[in-house]
Amino acid sequence: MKKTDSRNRPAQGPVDESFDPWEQVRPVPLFVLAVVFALAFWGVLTYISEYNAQRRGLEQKAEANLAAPVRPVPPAAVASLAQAPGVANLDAATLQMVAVGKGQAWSCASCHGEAGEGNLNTPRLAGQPAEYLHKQLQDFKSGLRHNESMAFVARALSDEDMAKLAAYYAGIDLRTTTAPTLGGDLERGRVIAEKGDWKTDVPSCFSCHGMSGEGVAPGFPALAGQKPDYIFAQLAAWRGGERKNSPQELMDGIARRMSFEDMRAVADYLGSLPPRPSAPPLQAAISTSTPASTPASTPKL
Amino acid sequence: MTNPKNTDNSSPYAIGRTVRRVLAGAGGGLALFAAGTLLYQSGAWDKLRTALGGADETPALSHEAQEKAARDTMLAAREARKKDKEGKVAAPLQPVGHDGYFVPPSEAEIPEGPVGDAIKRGRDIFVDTPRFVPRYSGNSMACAQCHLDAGRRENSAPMWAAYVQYPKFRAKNNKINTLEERINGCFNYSMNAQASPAGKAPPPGDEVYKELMTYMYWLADGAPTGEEMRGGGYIKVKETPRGYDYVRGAKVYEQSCVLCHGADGQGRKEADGKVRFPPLWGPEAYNWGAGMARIDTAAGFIKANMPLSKPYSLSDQDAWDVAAYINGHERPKDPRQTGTIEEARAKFHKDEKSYYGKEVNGKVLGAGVARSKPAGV
Repeated sequence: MKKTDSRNRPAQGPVDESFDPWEQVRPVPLFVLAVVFALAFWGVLTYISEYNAQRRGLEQKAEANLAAPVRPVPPAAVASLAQAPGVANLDAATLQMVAVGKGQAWSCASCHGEAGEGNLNTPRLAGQPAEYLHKQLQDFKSGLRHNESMAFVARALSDEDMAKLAAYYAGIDLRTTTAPTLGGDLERGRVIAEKGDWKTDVPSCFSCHGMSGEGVAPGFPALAGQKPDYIFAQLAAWRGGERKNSPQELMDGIARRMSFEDMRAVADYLGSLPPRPSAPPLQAAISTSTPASTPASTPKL
Repeated sequence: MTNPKNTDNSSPYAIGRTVRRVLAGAGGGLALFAAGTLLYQSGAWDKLRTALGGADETPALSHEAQEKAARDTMLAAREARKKDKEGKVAAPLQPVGHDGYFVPPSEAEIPEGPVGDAIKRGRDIFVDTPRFVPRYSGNSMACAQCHLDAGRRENSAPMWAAYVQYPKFRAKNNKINTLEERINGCFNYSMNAQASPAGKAPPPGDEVYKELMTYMYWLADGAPTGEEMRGGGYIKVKETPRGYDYVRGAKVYEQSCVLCHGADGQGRKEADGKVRFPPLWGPEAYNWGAGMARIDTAAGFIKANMPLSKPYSLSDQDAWDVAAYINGHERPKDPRQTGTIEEARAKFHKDEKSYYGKEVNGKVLGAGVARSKPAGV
């Protein structure tokens, strides 16, 4: 603004009587200056506090990762995923699709792993209800669920192929868990998974997906042992309206009512749960009871 | 920014003056910033926003924190009153959450010792009745399947509201009922105790009642005796001009219920056989004497609670119709029936909205359906 004023000065030469001499003396009002400074203070302080918060967050995450009680993966499963029960249980045509691919479509195993164990944002398929897997493949093919890679693969498959693949992956008994990757609050994740948040109409995950998150056929996929990155990405996709194939839009609404912190927490917690426990699930809904109270209540049996 | 060539003492752009102005601006800016911060911190800004209708998506206090604060306030007032010798401290108010409903204690408040143990056992029975009371369970139902969130959920007949209503006169049996007698009714009808290994509900004075009642007493901590509490019982769905119709209800059921309860109404089981979604009719469901077998009661439960995570999503008409569809199926017989169905209908089901003793799909309902094999315990 001052520059404009200084350019005006030479124009003073030929004096124009009608020109108001005070026109040029128009310094930036003090109030505007004050506002500019106030905004500048605000900006700088905000930047500093955000920067500090981020640094603290990273430090806490690093600490939490160090301290997090990561469930050990059973040594047998580490030794060879290919030896998991059910992996070898497939006919030649299915093997072709799983290991080599069909036509132009690449193989399942190239992304989902040799035993359907998944990786990061690629979901684990092993042990999912067959009906659920079948429906997802159909939805990818029809475009109801969006994913370019899966749409390409699914279009190469017949409905019979899908049914076979779904049955194959459903039959794999893989007990691996996934260590938390999102820095979520595991205790909060446990509360969401076991009790939910009734006041915001977020039922516990387990009330539909099984008391151990093992999935409930035909509609509810297993969550225990699923990849945290994948779970989080799906919750975010429902919330944002990107994924729309949840029956009755149940997950759309639930995800919209969850905070991102809760999504991270529950994704990390569910990933760390062992899939399909061999023993009947023990009181998952009421796990705050002390171990002592459980035996005390059983003698009535 | 200022051009040094133009620095002339008489000019308004003189360095000294500019510096003074900038300093004054900075000072003013600091003052403005401080004033703004103060205003924001004082909460006046939030109040203004709320007043103008700008809905705050993230309230300053989470609902959990509000609920905890309400309980802490109540407990503190209780302590203060206990210490007050002159009787001048005001009585504690009932703890209420942001939505105006009573706040039962959190599980963290369960005391240590024998009382706490009884509360926990009561809660376990409540949540998984067939597992913890197999002897008196005649179907797959658990208390918590109709009283959601382990008996805490408002408009789902929460236990904190029920506890403060007993003893109470009930037209159902035309006498004063104690809470134990009321729970006995649940076992007889909703749990269908006639098909249990014991063949009857727990006898009077049984530990099962004591533990359930201890749990309920604890849930009602801070609730005023005698008050008909907000959110107690089930809501009453207004009657619709078209009435209820199980044929229309079949369509609603197909769209909104099949996913969890199955097309055959038998619910869903987990891999190990444990009931995940309860059966709605047939031998594993509540019997004809249960409150839920009445269409108006079921409509109220459904409207305010179903499908899970989507309360109040069904229209009143749909709630009535789907309740009629569900209760238009055969289920275990009314244990009070000794003579014919017609006699039992006239005696126990006379003025109620139910299909008991009425013809649905060409068949008179009420004959009952029994488990093919005794409860596998």
